[in-house]
Amino acid sequence: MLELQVNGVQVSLDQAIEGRTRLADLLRDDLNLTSVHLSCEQGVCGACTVLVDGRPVKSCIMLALQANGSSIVTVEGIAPVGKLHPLQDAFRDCHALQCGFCTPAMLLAALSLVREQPAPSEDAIRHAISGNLCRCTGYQPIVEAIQQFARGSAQEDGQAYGSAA
Amino acid sequence: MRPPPFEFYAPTDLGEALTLSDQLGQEATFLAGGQTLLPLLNMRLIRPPHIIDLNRLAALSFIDAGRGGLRIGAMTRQYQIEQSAEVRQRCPLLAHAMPFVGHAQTRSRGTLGGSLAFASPVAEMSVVLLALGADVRCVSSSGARSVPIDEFFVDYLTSALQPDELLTEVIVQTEMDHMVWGFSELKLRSCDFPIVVAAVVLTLDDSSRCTQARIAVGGAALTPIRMRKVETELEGRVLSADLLQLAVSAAPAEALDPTDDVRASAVYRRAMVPLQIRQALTMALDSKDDH
Repeated sequence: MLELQVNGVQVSLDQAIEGRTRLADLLRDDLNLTSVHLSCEQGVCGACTVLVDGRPVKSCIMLALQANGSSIVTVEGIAPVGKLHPLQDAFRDCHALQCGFCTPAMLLAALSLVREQPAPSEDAIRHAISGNLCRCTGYQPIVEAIQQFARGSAQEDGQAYGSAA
Repeated sequence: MRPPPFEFYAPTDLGEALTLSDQLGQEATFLAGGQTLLPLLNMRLIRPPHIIDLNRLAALSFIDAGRGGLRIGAMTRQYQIEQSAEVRQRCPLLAHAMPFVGHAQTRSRGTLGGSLAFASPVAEMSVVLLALGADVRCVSSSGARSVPIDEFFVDYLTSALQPDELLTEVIVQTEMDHMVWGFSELKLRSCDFPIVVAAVVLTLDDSSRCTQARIAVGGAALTPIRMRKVETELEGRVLSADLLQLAVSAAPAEALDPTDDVRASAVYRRAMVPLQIRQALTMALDSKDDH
């Protein structure tokens, strides 16, 4: 039995959930949110990052039962279906992804930074994404995309998508 | 992979948690922030049959700056300490060092108590609290005691916590008026574990004479350790760049016993210990001029 809010929607799971089920397993297998990527499964690569009550969390090292009563955001929840969030637009403009495996988590880590610091320095951006590994694009275009988003779209973000994300 | 199966308990108060621990005995493991325990479970390096989750113990999550010093509950998240105006004001060394711990995601879940109880030789918080001379509060169903941090780290990944005890809070004296502090660490990249980490707290009299030195280093031995010989060189003397140089030259004579692991060889760690101490001391000396 588990109750939580996921991407703005109240979710109640009646079935028994094993203690060992991780938050990432619940989001992927029970809720079909496959943007949550499992890779290193030891809290290093950051590909499973989601927002829990607004904070970035590695969902492979948090148990599903610990999320009872929490509000979760995955990348599926940051913009309406069929639309890109301004941060996603910035990633496209800056060529900040190639294979895309790290991207959902990178977006959420960046969003949580810009919410706390609307005009982050380059150092602050690099510090904020230091828990997210990218193995193909390289970090420079990712940093540029986050800078572009922070410069242009921070206010728009708060108005358009503030409730879900 | 997924952790091996276990029974999960989520008590909501301290008494309930201690009763569970007494009933289940040594087969049970406490789960704090989980940023070390969950990786160990995922890698199946440990297989505890019972896990007692402490995350519903709201009473262990607090930052309280009173006359007796700064009290921080064991389940206080690292990001909460990082963002606390009270910590920044009353214990700036702790606030300064917190962003060096793990990364944003692990600081969201990771706790002060969990980090201390794991007793890693390179944990920034352990090294900082050793330099600050903190007290660690340990509670069991038969009573409570305070353990001075100098007696808390016993061996590699081993603290003075008894199997029936739970770490509930950390108390730091915050009379920082006559103190200067410094922090330095060496790591290959910002999200990695440190190779060597140093924190220093120096008490000065009105003529900049060092009346007490506490120098703590992680990565120099199987636990965080004090640099007693370096401290002795500093105490009773007026701080200067020359004195720092002289004091740091005592570091190789300390009881160094660094580990050899994937991040660094023991030889390299040993060579980096004096460098990190010197950098932390230099930071402290430079801040003296701001007083």
